[in-house]
Amino acid sequence: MLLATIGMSPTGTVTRYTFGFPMMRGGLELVGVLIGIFAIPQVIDMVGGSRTKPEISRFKNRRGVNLRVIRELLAHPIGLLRSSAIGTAIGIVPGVGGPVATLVSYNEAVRWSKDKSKFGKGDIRGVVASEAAGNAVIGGALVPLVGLGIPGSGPTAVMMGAFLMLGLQPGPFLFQRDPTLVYSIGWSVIAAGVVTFLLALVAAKTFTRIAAVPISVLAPLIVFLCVVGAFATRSLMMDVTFTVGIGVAVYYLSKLGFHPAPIGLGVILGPIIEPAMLQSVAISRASSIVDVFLMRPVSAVLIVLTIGSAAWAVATARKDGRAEKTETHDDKG
Amino acid sequence: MRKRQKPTMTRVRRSGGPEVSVDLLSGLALAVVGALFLGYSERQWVEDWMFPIGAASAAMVIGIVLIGRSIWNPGRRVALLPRLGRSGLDMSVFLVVSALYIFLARPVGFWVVSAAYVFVMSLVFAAKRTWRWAGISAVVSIGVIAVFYVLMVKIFYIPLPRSRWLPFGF
Repeated sequence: MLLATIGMSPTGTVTRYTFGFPMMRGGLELVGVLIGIFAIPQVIDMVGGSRTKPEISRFKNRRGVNLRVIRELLAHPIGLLRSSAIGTAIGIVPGVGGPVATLVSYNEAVRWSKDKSKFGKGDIRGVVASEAAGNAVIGGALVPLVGLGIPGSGPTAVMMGAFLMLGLQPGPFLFQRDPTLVYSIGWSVIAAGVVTFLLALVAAKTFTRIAAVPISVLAPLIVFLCVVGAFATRSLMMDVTFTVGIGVAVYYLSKLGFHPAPIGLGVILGPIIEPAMLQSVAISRASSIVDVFLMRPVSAVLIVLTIGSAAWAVATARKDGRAEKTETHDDKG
Repeated sequence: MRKRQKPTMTRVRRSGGPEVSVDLLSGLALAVVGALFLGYSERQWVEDWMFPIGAASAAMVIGIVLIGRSIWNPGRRVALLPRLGRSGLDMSVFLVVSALYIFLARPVGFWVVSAAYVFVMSLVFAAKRTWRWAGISAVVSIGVIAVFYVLMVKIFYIPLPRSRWLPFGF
């Protein structure tokens, strides 16, 4: 969020944190920062593993296999619905994401099934559980984005960036100002699902070939596209330098075990939160921030909920850590 | 009887680089960033500095809490210098060549340097460096960059760095 405060202030009266570099007056460009956070570390990682030959399985399309798969999937409607509901619910919670949804859904599928012996050996119920939940997360993640203007994951953060660039401010007012747009977003998610499914049926064989493109060709081409993306928004080479710099820093952080998505969320949410905070202070004409945010019932409830969810996350992590320790201890014993 | 070792914030791995507590590392990073931003903040225009000062102070406070927690209980540790081996060398070469690419893009010409960059990279990281592969790389790099040139400059009119001395702004 501090990165987002670099450059001109929202009131447009002062420049902040330029650290003596006049070219930083314009601040950091969102697209460049997002490319730096999400694309560059992936390319560096790709290059790091370029010497190991990836195992690419051959695609064998047997006649009627797709229909058989669809029939098998539809043979488990309850599992499909349960996993979709779990995925949607987890998708709504900011910062949790797909991996948690797939694990929880798989766990539930195992718990609800009478015959548990086949799980972990290619049982279709396990595949249905994890895949349905993983896909349902995408729709769920759109709820806080469109409804509250809060991107809860990396992809929704990028979507939020795209909305802002198009002059749209996601949040409750979007429903009032442009309800057609909100419903078109919903329908586009459904349409995207159908198109992806059809595309996967038709082009699966071709897609497997992309994995065979040597990294020595793929990596520089991705960097080239990143440079184009970072430069094109403001025509500044400084943005490209920042993109690569941020990418290298995020790669190092990810190697230490830190997740890069919160940095992206901070950069996106910072420019939204600051003007909103200044507006609230100006409208309320209160003498201090405490009066505005803690003495008003709505904001006080939201703050309590925020602290509560953070405390819950810490408590859950501690509990998981303890359980893991006990498991390791038992294994050694 | 062996005496139980007291947990420490840092330790040296048997296999190499030092390991450090994640809490200590996060705490130090947050405290340093918070202090840096607070140091560069001004108190003159309250409205313009309210938010960054608040965020920087929060970062500092959380950083100090994490440092305190790491002293009390170091918790999970990570290696400060991840062992990368051969891939570390590959990544360093990749980053140096990429830095050169960005540095030379404007003075030499973006499209020419881009083609050269793709060509050099495909040779450096090739599984087998043969004349045949060099030929394929040259064709692929020039061909792909030419396609992107037409797509971005002629069709989408995306403003990209233009060379001052080469024809067509290459």
